[in-house]
Amino acid sequence: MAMGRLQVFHTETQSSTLVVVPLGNISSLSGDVVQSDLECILAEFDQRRATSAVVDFCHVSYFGSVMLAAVQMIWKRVRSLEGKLGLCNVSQVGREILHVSKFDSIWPIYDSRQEALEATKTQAV
Amino acid sequence: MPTILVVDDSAVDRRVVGGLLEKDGELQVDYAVHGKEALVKIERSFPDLILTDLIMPEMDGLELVSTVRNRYPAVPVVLMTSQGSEETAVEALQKGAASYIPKHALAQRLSETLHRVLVASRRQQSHVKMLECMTKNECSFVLRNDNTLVESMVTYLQDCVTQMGLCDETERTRVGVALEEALVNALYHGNLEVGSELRGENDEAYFKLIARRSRESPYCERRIYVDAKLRRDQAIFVVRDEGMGFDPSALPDPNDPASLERAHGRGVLLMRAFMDEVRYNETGNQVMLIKRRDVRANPVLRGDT
Repeated sequence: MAMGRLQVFHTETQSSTLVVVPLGNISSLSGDVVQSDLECILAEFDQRRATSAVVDFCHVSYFGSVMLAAVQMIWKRVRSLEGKLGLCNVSQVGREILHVSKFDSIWPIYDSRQEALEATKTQAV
Repeated sequence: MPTILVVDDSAVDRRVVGGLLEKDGELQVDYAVHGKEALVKIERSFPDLILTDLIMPEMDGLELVSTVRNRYPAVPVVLMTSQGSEETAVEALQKGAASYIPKHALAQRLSETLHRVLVASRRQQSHVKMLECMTKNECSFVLRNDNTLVESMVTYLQDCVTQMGLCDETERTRVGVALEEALVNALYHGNLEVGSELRGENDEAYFKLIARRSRESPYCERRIYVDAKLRRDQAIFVVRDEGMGFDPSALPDPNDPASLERAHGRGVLLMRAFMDEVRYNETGNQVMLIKRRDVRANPVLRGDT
């Protein structure tokens, strides 16, 4: 169930995994909106007792450094909780962006949300 | 006479639609029983419009809309919807269907809807044809420090690149990523002088500084200057800010694993990956991005044949 406060992301919980869905490219949004959403997402880890996260890019065909920085924040929180982060439904260009920025070496990319959920669930500490 | 390809697995519905179109007298009709057969027919001879049911075996209307939008973007698709298929119809419209007609209203609305879509399609095709004749396009913009303009600016420049026939859809996206990074850098790191080093270390302070400087002099008076020069063989974009500039050679080594922890220099990395050439001026407040024609995707220069 979504919390209803987020504007540019949608979230839901599957067991101990928080699924974060960017609803569009966030580079054109005001910093206040992005910051507010990210703060809510980070707070949801505690509220929903989530330790891992899946970022589902099903609504985003490409993204840039602003999105990478946002995912990085989620990654840091997950790492502090000794959980795992997985990405899914990443477009071809999205995969290139992750490869160029080397994030594909630390953030596993899965073809579907189900695969990502399975992986983060089984790998979660 | 325009040809309409009617796609429906129901023989009765095909007959009803065929009868209505024959009565129109100004349309030629061809038929397919599902999406797959429709694609074979489109390949053989381009229809002027596709009129399709949504729920069909083999390939349904939704998949047909997506495929036609990708492969034959000039051919409009009109949906025939039944009760209960409203959600799928909305999805199909989002995927690029031109219009829809409820099956129960075919007798009243079919002819008028198809003619309206055909007129719009002809106008669009003529516009595209005219733009294909363009050999040079130059434009300049002066932007306020308003990040809500970034996406529109990027989309406009992407459209310019596409109209000039410089690249395919994937390259268009790559160009978009690079331009977005150039604009975001000019805005945040250039004009507002908010360093990305702060990002990751103290995100709250990073966003607060952006918000404060967006209203504070001299930062808020600064502008971003964008120049685009497009020819049939290359596009040159110049993005200049009024900030203090920076030394691009001082950016961290992207191959250093520690770079993953920092947000610093990622935008420049993406620009360099997705453009053919990226050049900074001496002061580092102006970047020139060059995209050359993708010879594999567009082997023939427009106007050369």
